[in-house]
Amino acid sequence: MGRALLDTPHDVAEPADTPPVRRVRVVAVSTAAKAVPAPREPFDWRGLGARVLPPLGGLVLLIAVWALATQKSASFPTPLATFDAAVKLFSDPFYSNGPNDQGIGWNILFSLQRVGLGFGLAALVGIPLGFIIGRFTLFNRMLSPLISVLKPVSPLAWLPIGLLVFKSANPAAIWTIFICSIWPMVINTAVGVQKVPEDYLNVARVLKLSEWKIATRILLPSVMPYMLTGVRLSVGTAWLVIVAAEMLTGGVGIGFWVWDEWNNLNVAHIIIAIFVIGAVGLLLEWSLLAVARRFDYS
Amino acid sequence: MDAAVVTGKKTFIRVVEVWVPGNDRSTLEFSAGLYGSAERFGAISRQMCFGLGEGLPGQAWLDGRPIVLKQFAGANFRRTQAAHAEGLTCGIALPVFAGDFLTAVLVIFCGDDEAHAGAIELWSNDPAASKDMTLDDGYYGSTADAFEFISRRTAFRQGHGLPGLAWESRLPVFQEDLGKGERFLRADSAIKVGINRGFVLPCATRGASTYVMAFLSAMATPIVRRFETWLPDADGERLTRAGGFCEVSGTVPAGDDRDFIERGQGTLGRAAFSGVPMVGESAASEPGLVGRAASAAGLDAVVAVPVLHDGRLRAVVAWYF
Amino acid sequence: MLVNSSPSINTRRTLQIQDVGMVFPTKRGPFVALRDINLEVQRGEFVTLIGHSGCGKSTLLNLVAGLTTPSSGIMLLQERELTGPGPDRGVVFQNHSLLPWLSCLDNVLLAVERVFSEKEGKAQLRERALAALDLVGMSHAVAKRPQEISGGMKQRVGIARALAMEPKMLLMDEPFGALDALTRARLQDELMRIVATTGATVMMVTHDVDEAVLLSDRIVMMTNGPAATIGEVLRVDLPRPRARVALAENRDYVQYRKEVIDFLYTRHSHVEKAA
Repeated sequence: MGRALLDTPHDVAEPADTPPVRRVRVVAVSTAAKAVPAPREPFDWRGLGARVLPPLGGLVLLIAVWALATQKSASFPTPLATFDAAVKLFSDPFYSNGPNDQGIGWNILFSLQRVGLGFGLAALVGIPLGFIIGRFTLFNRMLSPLISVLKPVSPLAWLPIGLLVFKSANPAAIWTIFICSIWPMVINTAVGVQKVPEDYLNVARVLKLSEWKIATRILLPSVMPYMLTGVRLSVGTAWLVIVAAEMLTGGVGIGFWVWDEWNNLNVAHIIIAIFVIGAVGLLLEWSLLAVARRFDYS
Repeated sequence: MDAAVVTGKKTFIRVVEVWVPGNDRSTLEFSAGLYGSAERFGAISRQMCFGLGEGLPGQAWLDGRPIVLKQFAGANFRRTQAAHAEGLTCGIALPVFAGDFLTAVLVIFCGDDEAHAGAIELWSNDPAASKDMTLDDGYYGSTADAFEFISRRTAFRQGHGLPGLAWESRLPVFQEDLGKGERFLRADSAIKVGINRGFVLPCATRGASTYVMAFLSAMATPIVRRFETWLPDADGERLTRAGGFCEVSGTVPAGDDRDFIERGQGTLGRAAFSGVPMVGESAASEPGLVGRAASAAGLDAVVAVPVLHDGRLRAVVAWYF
Repeated sequence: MLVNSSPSINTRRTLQIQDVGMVFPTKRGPFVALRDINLEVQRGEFVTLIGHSGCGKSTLLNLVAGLTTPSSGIMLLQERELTGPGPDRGVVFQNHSLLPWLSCLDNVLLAVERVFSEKEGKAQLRERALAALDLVGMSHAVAKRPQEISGGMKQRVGIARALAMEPKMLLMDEPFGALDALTRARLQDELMRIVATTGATVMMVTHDVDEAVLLSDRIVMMTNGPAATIGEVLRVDLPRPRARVALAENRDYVQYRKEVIDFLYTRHSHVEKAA
């Protein structure tokens, strides 16, 4: 059809071969083509299908296996039962019947709050520390071995110390988050500082910029991607740890709630909690990814 | 090498003269000369003497540095007509100084025409001014402008380029084939005008500046028919041949340790002893290697030019005609 | 070594390099990169350093830029000894080195602020930066980020940044090496125009013979490393402004070109050494 369209100018009879005439002919072709609306590109159903169907398929498969496995089970709830429980839970997420019995919404928020605090403190301490280690070899040599030794320690091993020092669950949990989030931040920031391209530093040198200007105008923006990677890594660990810490310390939070529901033998709620924890963790990741993309310069 | 060309005895350097200060050192007197076919020119010259600043030799003595004379008429030159008559086109005066003391002025006349090409360049460096060796003056004769163009605009550092090498080593430098030579820096323009050989002679001058004289010639007219570099031993008592080039036999190898020349022996020995260039009109009867080489190659005469630096003898260059 | 000349000559000598050598300590012992470098650059001169890779020409430029300190010898900029890098020498790198998180204008402003902020206000600084960008023909891209413009444009901004500081000398290290031939040609013409307008004193490193002959007043030819030194200096007497197309047939241009090629490829052909 398109080709037929382009063939029509032959009807525009201009037999002479002199250049001006030819030029007119060319113009005629393009205007003729424009007169007819271009056919719309068909919607990419196949592409959409390729992206959406497999995950959906996976989910369906999981539910199917789950349903099959729990058909005859007395202790493990079926997908349908779990769904019913979920509906009930999420219908009133913010109720409060005292400190140990709160809506799921509150629990999530409490956990997030602790993560936020511990995390924020870690950033406040870790990022400047990373700068110093990356920029000054002396500090690098001083602190690197220490960091290498402390880094692989499970954050939960730090929990008893936190309880001892702070004598209460909340600060201890925040302390645990702090200690587990700080390492990736320090290390990634330090690496980022060391990896600042020689070119940018040469620019700083030929302009003879002050140390402060170098830090703010060159190091900071250049290190940002590394820093954000560190932060993203920390967030994943932090969220993981808070659930475990809360299980151990009790009080409030989604981790505590999981343990509490285990004590109540409410397996459906535990399963729901798993999905909720996963979903929140994913959301945290996504939001940080979006932030990271904003600072990506390539 | 083309045999027809080789048997022709015409060289770029046509006349060599040696002028030495008289007893009272107020004039330069004729000491020796090789005139080849320019007999009349020789006859006139032998009669002459030059005061300080007079004529070509006198001028070189006064200035304390080499002089290239391209235009005889109207210049400080007293033998214009005779020179023109013999087809001499360029004159060079090379004063030889031992420290501040002038031992002699070596005067060379060259002749080229449409069929025979050659160029002479005087390069100098003034250490107080820079580290560059630049073209002081040049005679290009029938060679094309292109050759001169780059020479006038380039500067060599010590050790680079033919002039730079002579400057660094204080020894003569020879390039047999400029076309492919790695060290001759204007190889391409050189080939275009038929120039294929280069010889650079360091000049002993008064003062701190360094001068080197470059002789460039084409195959049809070699600079000289054979040249050799002889080096003194540590005591300066003996000269041994270091090498050279012969139009007849090609590269001249280094001489045996046993084939040395004593100070004072023969033309070369006397030049080494006195610091004055010497002319040997019968090269074949020279002692040792010199005579043997001359007879073997059918060479007639030899000129020995001492190369001095800071008053010490660095080398003796032998030019055979 | 230098004779105390009359004042008029002194102010013309922008750069003096005297007996400079550079030795780098390496695991395998000291590596002599440069030796016996002597060079003077007059005000308003365009000097090119040319040679094979590894001949130390970039090292020499880094010494003049102050990014390295010579092992021996002295370097004087307008009669004052060089002590490290500074905005009095504007450097244009081969990788434009524009900061990607700043716009073109901000990149130039960074340099302008450094030099002029003590005496001038924000508005004046901004005007300087805009003028510099206008000089290199980049007024249309002041707000754009480096990622949004082409390689040739980035290099122009790099030149603008260097010139905006009103440096005593412009130092360029193979500034057009990373660009395609057509862009390179255009930028060479631009550079000639800019240099003619500003009267800048330029020292440029290149290994492109045509570029050297087209742009320079003098071509400094360096020998091969290690222990590289200056071998020959050629004075290019072609009248300005130089038009590329007309020059291609100019007999003198051809001579100059042949001379440099002869130096590089006949007399100092680069021999790949086994490590």
